[in-house]
Amino acid sequence: MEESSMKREAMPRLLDLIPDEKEWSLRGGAPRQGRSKNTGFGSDEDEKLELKLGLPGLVQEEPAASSREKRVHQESPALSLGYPPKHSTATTGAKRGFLDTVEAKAQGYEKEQARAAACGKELAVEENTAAVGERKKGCCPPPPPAHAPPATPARNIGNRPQARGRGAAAPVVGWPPIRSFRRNLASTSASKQPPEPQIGEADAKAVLDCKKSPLVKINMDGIPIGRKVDLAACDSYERLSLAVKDLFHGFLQVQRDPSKVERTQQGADEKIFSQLLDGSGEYTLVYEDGEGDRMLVGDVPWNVFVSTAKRLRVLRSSELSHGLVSGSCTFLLICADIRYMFRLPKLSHS
Amino acid sequence: PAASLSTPSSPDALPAAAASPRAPPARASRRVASPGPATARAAPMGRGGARDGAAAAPPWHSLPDEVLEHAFSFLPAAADRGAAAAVCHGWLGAERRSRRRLAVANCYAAAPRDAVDRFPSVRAAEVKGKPHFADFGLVPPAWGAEAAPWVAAAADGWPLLEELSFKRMVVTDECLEMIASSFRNFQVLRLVSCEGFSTAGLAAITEGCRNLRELDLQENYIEDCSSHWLSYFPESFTSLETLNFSCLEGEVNFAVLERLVSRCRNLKTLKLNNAIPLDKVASLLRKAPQLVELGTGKFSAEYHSDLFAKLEAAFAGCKSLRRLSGAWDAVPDYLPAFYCVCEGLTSLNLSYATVRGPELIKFISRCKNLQQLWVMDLIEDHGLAVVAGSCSKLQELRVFPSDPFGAGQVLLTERGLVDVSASCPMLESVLYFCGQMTNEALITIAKNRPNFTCFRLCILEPRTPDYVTRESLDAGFSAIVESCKGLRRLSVSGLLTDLVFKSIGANGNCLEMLSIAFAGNSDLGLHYILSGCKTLKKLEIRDCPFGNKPLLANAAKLETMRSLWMSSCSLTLGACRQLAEKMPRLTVEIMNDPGRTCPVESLPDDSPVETLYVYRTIAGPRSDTPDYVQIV
Repeated sequence: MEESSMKREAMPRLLDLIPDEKEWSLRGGAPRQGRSKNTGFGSDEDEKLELKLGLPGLVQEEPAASSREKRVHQESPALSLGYPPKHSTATTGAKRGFLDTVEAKAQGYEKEQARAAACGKELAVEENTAAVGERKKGCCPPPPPAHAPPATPARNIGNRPQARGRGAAAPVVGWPPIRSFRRNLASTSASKQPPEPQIGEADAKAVLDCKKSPLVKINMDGIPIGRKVDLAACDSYERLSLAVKDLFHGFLQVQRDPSKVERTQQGADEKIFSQLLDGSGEYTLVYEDGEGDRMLVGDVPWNVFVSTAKRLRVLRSSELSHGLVSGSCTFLLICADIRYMFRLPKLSHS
Repeated sequence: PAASLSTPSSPDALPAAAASPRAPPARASRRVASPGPATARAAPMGRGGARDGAAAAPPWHSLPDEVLEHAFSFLPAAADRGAAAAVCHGWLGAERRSRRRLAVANCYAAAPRDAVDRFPSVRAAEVKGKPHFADFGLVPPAWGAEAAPWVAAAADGWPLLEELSFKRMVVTDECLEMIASSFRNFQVLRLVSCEGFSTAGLAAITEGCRNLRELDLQENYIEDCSSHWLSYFPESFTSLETLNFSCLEGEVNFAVLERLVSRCRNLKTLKLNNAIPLDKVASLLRKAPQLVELGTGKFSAEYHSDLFAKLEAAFAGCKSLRRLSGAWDAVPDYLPAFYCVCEGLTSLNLSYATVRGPELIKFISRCKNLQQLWVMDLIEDHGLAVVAGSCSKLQELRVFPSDPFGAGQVLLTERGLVDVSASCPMLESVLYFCGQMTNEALITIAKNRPNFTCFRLCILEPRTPDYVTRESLDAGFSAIVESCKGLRRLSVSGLLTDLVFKSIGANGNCLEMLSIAFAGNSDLGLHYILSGCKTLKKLEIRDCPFGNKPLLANAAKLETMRSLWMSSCSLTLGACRQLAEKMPRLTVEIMNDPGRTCPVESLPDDSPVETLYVYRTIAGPRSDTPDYVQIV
């Protein structure tokens, strides 16, 4: 950042005179070079695309005289058009990247994403996660990245808020600064419009209302503190497995012998949690349904699982035979989603 | 600790001190104080005692501890106690042993064990966890702020604990169970903006705390396990004074609630949740006419004249009602049922009420003694004009947006705030969400109300300029800080340049908390703040073009503050490392993309930092950071 700003000072551009990054490329022409040099965004296409995605709240560049601000007003402030300077694809991406996290804690921070139907921000997420993943100064690829944020099932790509025009506020994470209890009220009561996407709000009030985003308790053998996981934030068994790992690996480390090197611990944990679903590891994931029956995770299609699972447990595989209703087959091979197709005939319950 | 002292509350505190009355005549500063417990003073005392030598009889430093402790019991303010404790070791010991109330504003500033060891006689503790911006979703889940270590330490070291209050922390059912079983005289539990527990934990509290007086649950995320927690209060239990379960989603057994309310004759505060229908509210009121504070829950129903009559009669019986709130999807026709209590109301929270129109305004205008008003912007400018005219005793006004993401169909502008500021001479605290503002309005407001202590203006659209002149709002906010000398809390919004921060830095001499978003245009802005604002405690910044230089240049300032939050600014890792190295008593936390797995040690200095959270601590770096938080 330091060097980029110094570089820019050497070559003042129209863009640099402008305090707010909003007005650049829409005006077309020269200004872009200053930024492009630093950001590596070469093409208009990319910038325009970025524009629409309206990554808000981006980093301001260096000094601006107040007279320049007049130009600011000609832009719609509503658009908050952000165009990420070189690093902030990562920085803003980090914010959006939160949306990515599978680590679903009780309050379903990510659930906002799940309900953020029509928000260009999701695209911004995708953009930024791609950028973050690649960590290139180069172009930020427009199309969604390989791993889509799991918590955005209703991605409505065609309906970006910026496209709605100047009147509509571009949703920014955590803005305006009102608590989620109030956001809920605002969107469900007097508003005639459909509920606006409420990104990034820990909104368990809506969560508890919304049957599509169940939080299920999950306990692990040997760990006294239970956690909660949001099944809707995971879109596959594999992600669920990752989520479980995230929730508990810290506890495992704490419980292990502290004299052991941390690295080996991590490796061991990886191993443990990666075999949660196939029954061959030290621990196995089971769930309880509405009737209280315990069943191995991975049998049924994912969405059926989400709607029936009421509680999860991570059991020691050695104890599985006691835990299961059906009794037998502790080392049954249950698949993660990708391997679902190849699953072997199951011997247990339904 | 700050050396500021409030005047000692009772001059006659110390019989023993009175026995040694003579202050050396040369110490004019002492004589200025109220007679008697000059022990209630800071440094001069200690020095005076030693130098007193020939003059006084028993020197101050040989007063027995009980005397000192008794003196200190008249210093409720923690800042004063801290000042007293800084005088000398004797006073330090006496103060800390007699401290009854402890407020830990940042749960990571000290280790729970250390806090418990240092203050062994605490009866009431309050601990706050996550940074303020966690309220708006800027802090991902599993960040930390677990209450468990504090509960565990308290269970060990404060067996006589009576009050516990947690804000923005993760409180588990196990914590609640531990609270219920560890403190035999536990009386007050207050949980604000917490999460991680369920009604099962509440059941543990209601069952186990025989002397419970207050159960106050404000805006928590509570999982509903349908465990009938309310039924666990024993039938013999009558000590309840405050019951607030307004944030609870699920049903409660109404019959149980009714019996509870009937037998707790000291019940003063009752805040219901949305599951209690209107007619039940009326029945409860008849059982508890002594209520001082009522939260009505979901106040909505079809209009029926007999229900109206029932409500009206019930409210007529509540002669002591002073504070009213509720999540009203209120049918305006029911509002007149409240008319009989309007005159007595000092606090009205309609911030969850979607009612609008003339009935709302008529209702509020009857509340002539209102001191605190929280409303939605559905009240609109003309409603606020009426409020301005009717509620001359108003001290605090909060106006929330009803449709924060909408296209601005609500007619609330700067006009409303100007009117209220003009006509309410005692107004000192404002939180105002609106769509537009002008410098002229702000200047007028500043001129009208130099007595603001808290001014928070949120213009819904970031970087909105003065809509008339199209200029930045620097002039307006500068007027506010220049005029309001006692301003302690400020939130700015709209289009702002570095100039406003120059003004804030220069004039914000009492400012303790400052919130900035989408403002400024260079490092200078942050530098002005950090180099000015002498009493600043909490600074939170988001989406501003502030970089590394002002942070490093003002590193020492950060130790005088409680915490600094900077997200989506222009910081890099190198600066954070330098800061951490330079200031070992600060914890420098970095939050980045959770997807990134490489440890922060391996990243180059110029890596950007998305979120920085810095706070002073005597406990060293915390050990419960999630993956996405790294301590530099």
